[in-house]
Amino acid sequence: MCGKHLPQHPNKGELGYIPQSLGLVRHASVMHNVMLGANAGHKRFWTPLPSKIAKKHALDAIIAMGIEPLQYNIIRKLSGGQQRRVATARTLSQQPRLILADEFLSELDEHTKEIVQSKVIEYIHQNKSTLVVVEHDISRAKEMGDRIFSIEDAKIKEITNMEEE
Amino acid sequence: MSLFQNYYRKVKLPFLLILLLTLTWLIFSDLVDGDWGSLENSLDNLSVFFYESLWPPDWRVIKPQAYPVCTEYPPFEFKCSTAWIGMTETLKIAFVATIFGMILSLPLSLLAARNLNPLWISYPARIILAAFRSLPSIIWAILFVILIGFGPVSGALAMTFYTIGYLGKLQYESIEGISRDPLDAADAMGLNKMEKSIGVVIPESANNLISQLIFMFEYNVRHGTVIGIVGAGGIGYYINLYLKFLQYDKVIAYLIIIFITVVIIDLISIYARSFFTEKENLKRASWTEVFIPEFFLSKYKKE
Repeated sequence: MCGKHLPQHPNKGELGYIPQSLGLVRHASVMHNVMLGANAGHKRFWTPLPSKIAKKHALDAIIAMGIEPLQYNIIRKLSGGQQRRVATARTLSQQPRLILADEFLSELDEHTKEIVQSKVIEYIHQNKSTLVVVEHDISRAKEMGDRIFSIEDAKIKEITNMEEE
Repeated sequence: MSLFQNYYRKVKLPFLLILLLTLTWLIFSDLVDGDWGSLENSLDNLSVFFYESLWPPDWRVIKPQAYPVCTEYPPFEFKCSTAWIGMTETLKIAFVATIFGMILSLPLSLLAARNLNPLWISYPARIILAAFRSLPSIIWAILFVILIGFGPVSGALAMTFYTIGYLGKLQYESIEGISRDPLDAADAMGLNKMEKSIGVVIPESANNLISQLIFMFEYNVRHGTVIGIVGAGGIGYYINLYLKFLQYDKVIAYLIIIFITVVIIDLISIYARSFFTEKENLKRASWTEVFIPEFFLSKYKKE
């Protein structure tokens, strides 16, 4: 990918994934879902309980996404936008080196969209991670991305001139 | 062509029903084997047996036993009766068997689920569960009575073994029914099988698992009454005892008590399971609705 060979099976917690369908555990709380990500990133296999670091990262991610008051709510009772923020918080708490996100900003209102986007970009810059986003809104893609590829007639084409489209 | 198709479409369902009924009747005739005379007097026999031996029930079964001496005070004297002792023992056996069965069947059903494990793990686990299930609880009870001896412990273990097989099948089917998305997300995160089972699979299917657990308790109470017949404790022991002495009026009294208990547990089970249904907008049953039929309630509401 981008001239680099990636391992076929990344190490535990190194790959963050925000699918379009979110993949949240619907019958569990917000905290439970975010802790899944935090455990993937910060818990070793031989420790039976989650570490303090994992809990701290989970709480930080929840606060960053602005869903702190909802942390003990059940996922299926949340709105689409709130669920999307939980999925993003789960990935941030994991602290991955690569995030794959499929339209992770859809269903959010403009204000929340700005917050979520800025927090994710902040994380990417601080941790020198990579974010690969599938986005239909080209102007938003330009705001976020260093490199943009478009798919036309089943062919991937890089948009070299950012002002072009 | 189209005429034939239309004709076939119209007659298909009634035709299939008639075919099914004819087939059933042919198989039944084969079972009767030409001896229709044996069926002719069955209703008369039932009526004679019912009025001469069964009815009225002998309610002495809810009176305290002569020995051991009852130490309970007057309103609670029924607690020394064979019916109370037997029924509570059956309930205890069912409870213990359901919980032990759940604890043992859950790991097996996680192994048996095809969406979590490859075929070489899931199939052996399924075969083990099928083996537990293939023997009815009464055969397990006979086996444990031989191994351990008479008493409720054999009954509890026998019911536990049957529960593992039966509940395990229900569990792996509901685990296989969970959404693929959280599992994909967990795979991407790199969670191992244990973390995935505890963190994703069990919470995602928890409603079904709890609902099945309650159903299994209800099922075990019904079946727990039978295993006493082979000496594995519970009310079945007393039923068998009076069957041997041909005291059918006492047997019918026990059967009525079992029926009432099963109906009450059934109703409680309906109520308890209504808390664990998937749909949020599904109306939760109220106690009045559980105990009084709906058509009666709607009539009352209109007035």
